[in-house]
Amino acid sequence: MKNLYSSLNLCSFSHIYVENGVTENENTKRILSKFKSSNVIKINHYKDVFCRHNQDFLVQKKSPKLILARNYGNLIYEGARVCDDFGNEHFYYTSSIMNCLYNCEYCYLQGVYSSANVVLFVNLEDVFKKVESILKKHSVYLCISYDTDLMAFENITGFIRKWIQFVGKHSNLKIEIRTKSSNFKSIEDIVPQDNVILAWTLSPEEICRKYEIGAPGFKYRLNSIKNAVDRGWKVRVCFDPLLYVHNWEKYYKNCVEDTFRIIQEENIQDVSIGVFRIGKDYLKNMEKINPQSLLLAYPFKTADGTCSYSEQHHKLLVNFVYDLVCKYVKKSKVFVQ
Amino acid sequence: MVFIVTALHCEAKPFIEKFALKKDNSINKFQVFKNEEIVLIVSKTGSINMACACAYIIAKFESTQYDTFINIGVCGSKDRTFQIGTSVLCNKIIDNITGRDFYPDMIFRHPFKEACLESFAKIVDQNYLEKVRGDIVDMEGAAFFKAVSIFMPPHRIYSLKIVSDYLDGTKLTAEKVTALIYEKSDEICSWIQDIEHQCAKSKDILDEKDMDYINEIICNFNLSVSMQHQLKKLAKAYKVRNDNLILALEPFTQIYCKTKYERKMYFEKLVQQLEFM
Repeated sequence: MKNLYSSLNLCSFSHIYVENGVTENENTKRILSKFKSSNVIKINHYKDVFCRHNQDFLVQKKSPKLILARNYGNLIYEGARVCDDFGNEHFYYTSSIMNCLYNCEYCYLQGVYSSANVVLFVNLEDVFKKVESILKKHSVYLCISYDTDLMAFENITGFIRKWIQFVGKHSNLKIEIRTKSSNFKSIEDIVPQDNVILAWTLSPEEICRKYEIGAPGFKYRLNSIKNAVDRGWKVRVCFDPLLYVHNWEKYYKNCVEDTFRIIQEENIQDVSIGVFRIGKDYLKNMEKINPQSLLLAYPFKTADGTCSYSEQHHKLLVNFVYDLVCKYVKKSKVFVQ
Repeated sequence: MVFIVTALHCEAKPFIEKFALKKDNSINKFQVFKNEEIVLIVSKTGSINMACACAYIIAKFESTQYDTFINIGVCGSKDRTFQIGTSVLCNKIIDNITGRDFYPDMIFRHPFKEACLESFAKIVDQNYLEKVRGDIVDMEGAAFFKAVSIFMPPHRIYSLKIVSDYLDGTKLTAEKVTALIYEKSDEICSWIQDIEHQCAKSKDILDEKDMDYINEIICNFNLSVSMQHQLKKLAKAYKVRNDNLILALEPFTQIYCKTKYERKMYFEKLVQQLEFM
């Protein structure tokens, strides 16, 4: 793994912490085989590393470590209020990975976790069992790339491939895989399925460069979408979060127009639009970590524990992007958060 | 600042020389040597001494999260692939007494080997070798990490050990210990200088002049504690967005509130001004 920062920092995943209980797990063995030069350190529980006192999120982000663990928690959670269910009745999410390879300045994960290290839960098969137990009661719409970017990790984990195989056996299960990655090539050989939604978050090139450090630029993401569409996938396009930055109108105009110049409406499942929004406590943590952030210096308004832009700016952003998107996509396909 | 903690004076000697440290004679409970950037304390052997020495220098020198703490000393090695004199940076530290494990953040590149250190309350010999879980063994590493990690982030705490024996009862003289460490001291000193300025404290957003204006408003408006916090937070955000904070604050320094009603009214105006986009 390359290091994006100072040459004095160790590369990402230079150290891999492995819970004693998962050393014999097949996923563990496969993942470790990809990091032959990393130092492997045995641990009792992932929280011994992940939940230490006084950790510095930003420093760790410069050289994140990988922690392989077993998830004994709930495995599946009901969908969050701030996330769109796209009209699906039984909306759930699951996190096989905590934290992300990218370093987006507005990312809520900085406010959620005290560590920037990446925890990868290797007991994916337990999640499948849990999903099957829920599927016996009703259909499920499940977001699997939550609290992480699963496609960015696909070369390491192979989890998306496993999920798509699993979905193939369950017609009443629909999954969303949301990403900023340009790594579609890692799954390009898989036959498209109607109940698997590949969703790309798109941001203007200027925003990618300035605020989405480590994530592929707009054109790379768009190219990945194009490859997916060419292989028969219907994709979800997410202009979310919209950011109130200097020149935002120009940036988003170019971004939306460039997107639909390449991707035709018939290949689009739907479009999601939403402004930056975040839980009050998470924002507080983020401001503490990154006090110099221009994005976070906005005088956010708080309603029901969620912070976002003023009503005026919210409307400006959403209406502008909505009107632009509706020039290319039917209104019934456009969801506003 | 860099704080070096050794158990013995013979472990400290090479660094006192290399960094030209001078003894601080005002301190008589521990031996402390220092220059403008480095403080070295000799704790004496054992976990209690080590924890006390760490707590002492943290308090005495008012260390902050931007300082670096390094425990340097000799260790025994269970692993015979480590040659005598090898310098080892510990990526895991086991406290043999409590069974607790500690993990320093391995953020920076280094020229050393890495290993797991286990700290014991007494000297470990061949008869006890089977029960040793770590690769290397000492008597203070766990206490050092545990004590310092109460105050400091885990990427600023390092245990650096030089292999002196294979737990085979080899008698070590103070001269031999100094010689072993001296041999590695150039490498260690160079690394310390490399990492010292990493993660330096970023400049405060509000400078002295900003704070003068803010304090004047606090005084003139007779702001409550909660209002004071709100004002400082808004002022910081405004300065990140606009930079010309003084211009925004200046008109409000001429206002004097005599009643709570006045304070509320003018404070709302001030908030409005600082929230302006």
